[in-house]
Amino acid sequence: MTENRPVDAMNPSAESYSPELDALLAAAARPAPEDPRARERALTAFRAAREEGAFRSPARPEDDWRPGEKRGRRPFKVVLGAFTASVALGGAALAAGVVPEPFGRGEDPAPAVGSAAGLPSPGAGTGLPPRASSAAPSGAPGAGESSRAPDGRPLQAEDQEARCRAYESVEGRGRALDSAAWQQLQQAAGGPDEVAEYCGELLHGSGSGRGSAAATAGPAVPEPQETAQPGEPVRDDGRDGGGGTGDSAVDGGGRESAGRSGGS
Amino acid sequence: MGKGEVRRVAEPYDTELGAAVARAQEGDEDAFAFVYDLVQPRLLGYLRGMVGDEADDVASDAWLEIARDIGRFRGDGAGFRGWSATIARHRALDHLRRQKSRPRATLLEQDLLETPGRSDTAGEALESLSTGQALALIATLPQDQAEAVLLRVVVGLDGPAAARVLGKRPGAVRTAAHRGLRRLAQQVAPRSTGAVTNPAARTLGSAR
Repeated sequence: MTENRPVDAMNPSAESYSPELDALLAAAARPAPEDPRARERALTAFRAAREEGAFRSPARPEDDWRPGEKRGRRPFKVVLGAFTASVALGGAALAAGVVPEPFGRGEDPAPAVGSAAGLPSPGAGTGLPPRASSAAPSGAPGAGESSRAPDGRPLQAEDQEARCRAYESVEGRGRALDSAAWQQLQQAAGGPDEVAEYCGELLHGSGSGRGSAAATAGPAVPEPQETAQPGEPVRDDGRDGGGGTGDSAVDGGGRESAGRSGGS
Repeated sequence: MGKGEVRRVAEPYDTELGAAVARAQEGDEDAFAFVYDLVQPRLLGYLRGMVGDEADDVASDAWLEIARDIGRFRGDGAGFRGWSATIARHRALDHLRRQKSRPRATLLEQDLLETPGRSDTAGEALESLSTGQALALIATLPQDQAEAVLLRVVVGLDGPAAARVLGKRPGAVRTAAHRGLRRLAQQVAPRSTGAVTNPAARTLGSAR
């Protein structure tokens, strides 16, 4: 607040512009006289906001001025974390059937386990019956997604779980996520600070909705037990136990029937 | 000429400011009053450079918004200066949009015309520069330069923070601040007699 502060603000190691400019800047930075009425208005507004409970409003992106969250100045570690998390989220979403598969799954309902979905699968793929194609629409990219959850839950919930699992797998760095998935999580949770709790509740809170199997294999895996896909990106040990509960069995059943329909 | 590199100024009161903001977010009115007293003078200076004598009204609007949204803010004292400057800037730009078609003589122009003549030694003349005159001079710069200088020098933001307030890249703001300061230095240089009483002086508001 001293009058020569702007002079200090000039990098002293750099050549100074001029003493005249320093004087000008010092004058410009001199605190303006205060209007007590304006101050009172601000305080009144503060009290009103407090009455309304406005202080509990969630932070928007433009409200976050914490160091390290400045736009364009993210530390490398955070960028890396965000990238990793994006990949993980994308993978989880793909596995859960959120993202349309680019391999024409509808035409070939029985890809080999653990191989790329589009590769020919001699054993299971023999003589594709009309039934397979009649089953295809529900599995076709972008079609009937809401109907695909075998246990009747809307798939949206599964999507959210997949995102939550990804979120937890990158715990601590999740905040830095810029992905659409992170945005959706935030929205659903009601703010960036609520995501951890929201996900904890979703994944571990209620009894149902465990379904880690949802994030594992495609719909046409012949053996329902085969839950541990090599490419599964967000699986972690804590969730393996969960995979054994009823939900995964239901999921497995769904897949099994799909497999059967492909094989018959 | 210098490099236009205004070093980061960690305001001595930033720690106190950050603590007061945190208490205000809990509903502490005294803390909010303290925040106001720390932040308002510089915010007002910035706004005077932006909108001239309408700065008080614009600042008042800005504080209504700051008071309402302070609970949303996340960050420390330095961050709060940036956050509040962003709000003030938006209100100033709103104001300028509303006023666009209404040219007016401003207090700042008046200040500028009363700037001491340059016949005496520059140092003495500038010593006697009022804050209003100094801000009026800054306001004669192209808007991007004026804003960069105001945010850096008057509000005391560092480069990245000023860039965020302006929604620009730090490099662009650094360049604008450098050009603005160089131009100001030329204007107040002892040999450029009479430059200060530039009749074309205007506020950013009338420039738009």
